[in-house]
This record gives sequence, structure tokens and C-alpha cells, in this order.
Amino acid sequence: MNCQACQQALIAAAAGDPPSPTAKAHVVQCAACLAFSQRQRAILAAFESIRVEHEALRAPFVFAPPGNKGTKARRLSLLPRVASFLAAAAVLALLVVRYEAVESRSSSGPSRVVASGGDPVAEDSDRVIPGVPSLASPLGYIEALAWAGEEATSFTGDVFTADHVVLVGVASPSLSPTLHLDERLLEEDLIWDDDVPDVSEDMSDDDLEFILDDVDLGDVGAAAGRG
Amino acid sequence: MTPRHEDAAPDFRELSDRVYRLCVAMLRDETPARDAAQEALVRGWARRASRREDVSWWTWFGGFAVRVCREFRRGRAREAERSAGTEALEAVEAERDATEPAPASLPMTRIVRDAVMHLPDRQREVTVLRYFIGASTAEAAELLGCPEGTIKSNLHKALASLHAALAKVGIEDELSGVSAGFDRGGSG
Repeated sequence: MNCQACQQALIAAAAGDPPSPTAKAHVVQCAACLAFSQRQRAILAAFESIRVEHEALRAPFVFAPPGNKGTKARRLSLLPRVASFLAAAAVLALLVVRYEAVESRSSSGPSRVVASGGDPVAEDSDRVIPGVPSLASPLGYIEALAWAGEEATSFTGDVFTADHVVLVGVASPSLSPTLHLDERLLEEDLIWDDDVPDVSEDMSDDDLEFILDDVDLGDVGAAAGRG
Repeated sequence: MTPRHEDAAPDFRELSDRVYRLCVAMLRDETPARDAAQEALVRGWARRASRREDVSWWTWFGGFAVRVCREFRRGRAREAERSAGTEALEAVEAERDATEPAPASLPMTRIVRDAVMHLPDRQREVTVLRYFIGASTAEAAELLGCPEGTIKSNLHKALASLHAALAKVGIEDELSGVSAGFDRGGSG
């Protein structure tokens, strides 16, 4: 807004307060502000009104970080987090049983290859890791891409050794066995948003290593007896 | 000498307020905004060791707030899809649009806020940061982790979309119509 009188008048108008005749006359004729069209004025006035409204907001809490004079960080919604963790642990336990069973029937060498390479096959191809065995459970849809300390084959076909258990979430049971790498991990808070490479593009082994380096799922693995 | 950011302890009262405001502006509702703000502060604090010296506490925690709000919005969209199904959701939206009062009769702030909330993610975030929060272009660029040019181009697109949205509800773009807009206020 080019002049303060216009700004005040337009804010008042946007908030529903009628401007005085003087203010109205000023706005209509103001040489400084005539560069603005009515629509621009309306948008800018509404923006300003919203900004003022937000500026008056106060947080209903004050963040207290851990270690600050004995205070603890307060997080809401603890129960869903605990439930998510328990669900992840339970699914992992089921996976262990499943893979133990699969391995005992298999004679395919020492490494448990849980992810295999190949070209994406599904419609949403750039987000899909084909060939990974799936496990649907009423508790959730979490799968392991690689077990800690064991060899696995990435979907690009290269063999790597995982430092941590790498979990992959399935967005929907009906999509199984196609896997969506980021969503469930984000939901479960097992990985931070900025740790996840852009899975809408082809992922490389560097990306996988990035995940392996950054995600510490030792607790989850330990809870499932595989840490 | 300018103190390094890391030398000064953050003012958590002020930070809590600012992050909360940002979350309210991004999510519109205060209840999820409170959760999102706390989540952002917890995440930012947990990862504070990776903060660069030249990044202020506000932009550090604000960046987390933007990402958490993005996740909240995605989560809500997924939830809506799960509970109603895409087609049912579209039908509900269409019905709601049809039964809503004429947009032009709503307060301008609500019309604009609604229009902003329907912008694509990046345009909405840029608009909220620049105009609802009052962040500078440089601050917005730091918060969103993109170049200033991206902020400007998205802002340009956002304003163009808002112009189109207002045209749709009958807000004229004529200079001569200014007084008519004020007449709706009922004075003078």
C-alpha cells in the first residue's frame, strides 16, 4: 500500500467497519494509491487484515526443551505415537516369523534378500519398488527393506549391507506388494521429512545409503528381537 | 561484533508464539496448529546440532513448522480420502459449494483466505509467509529452503490466481469501482 491512510481505510473496510466519508473520499482520490486496482486493493487489504489478526495470536503453550532447568518438552498426542511404535514392533515380529519360515524352506544362499531389483511395473512407477515381499496385517502395513547388518539387494539391483533396519510403509493394503517409501515412515515419525529423498524421482543407491546412515531404527528392531 | 546465532539461547516464549502463528496461518485451524507447532519445536530442538551458524532460530524452527504443516495437510487429505472415498469426497465438495452463500456476500478477508487455502502447496506457503506472517522474501526463501527467485515467481503466480478467484466472485478490477466497494460498508 502506498499511503498509510489508504491502508488503514482498506483494512477497516475488509474487516467490515465502514470507513468515514473523509477516509472514503481520500481512498478514491489518493494519487499515491491510484496505481492499485480495486481487486489489488481488496487482496492487499485482506492480507493486511489477516496479518494483523495473526499477529495478535499467542501460543497456548511455551515450548520447554529437554534439559532446560529440569523442564521437559511437552508433546501432545503421545498415545498415538506409543501405539504406532507398538504396532511397528508387532509387525516386525510377524515379519521375523515369516522370514524365518521362508528361509527354512529356501536354499537360496546365506543372505536374506528381501528387496530385489527390476524395472518398476506399476502405474505409479517412479514410486514403486517391485518384487519386495509384502505383509499385510491388521496392525499396519510396514515392511522391511533390509535387516540390520545383513545383505540385501536394492531395487536398483545392487547388493548392499544395511546399517539399520530399513522399513518401508505400504500406503494401502490393496496396493500391496507395491511400496511407497516415504509416507508411512513420515507418519510413524521414524524418519524426518528432510531425510527422505525425493521419491518421485528415481532413487539411487546413494539415496538408500543416505537413509541407512540417517535413520536409527535400532529400538524398533530390538523390540522385534532383531536389532 | 555480531554474536553468532548459536551463542544466544532462543527466546522460547517468542518462538512458541511465532511458530504457533505460522501453523495457524498454514492450517487455518487452531487445534491442529497447536499440535503442529509443538511437533515442529520438538523436531527443531532435536536436530539443532545441524543448524548452520547463519540461520536464525526463527527460520530454523519455522522451516520445521512448514514441513510439519505440510505433513498435517497431507494426512488430513488422506484421512478424508479414506473415510469418504475420492468420488464421494468430490460429491460432498460439489454439494457444499452449491449450498454455500454467494461468496461476494462474505467478508473480503474470508474470501481471500479461502482462495489462498485452495492455492497449490508452494504458492500457498509463499503467500502465507509473505503476507499473513509478514516474512521478507529472504526469510521466506530460508524457511522454505529455496532461492528468492522461486519465492517471487510463486508469489506472482499466487497473486494471479487470487485475482482470478476474486473475478470469479464478482469483485471488479476497475478503479472507478472503489467507492462501490466501500458503499457495502454502509457509511457515507
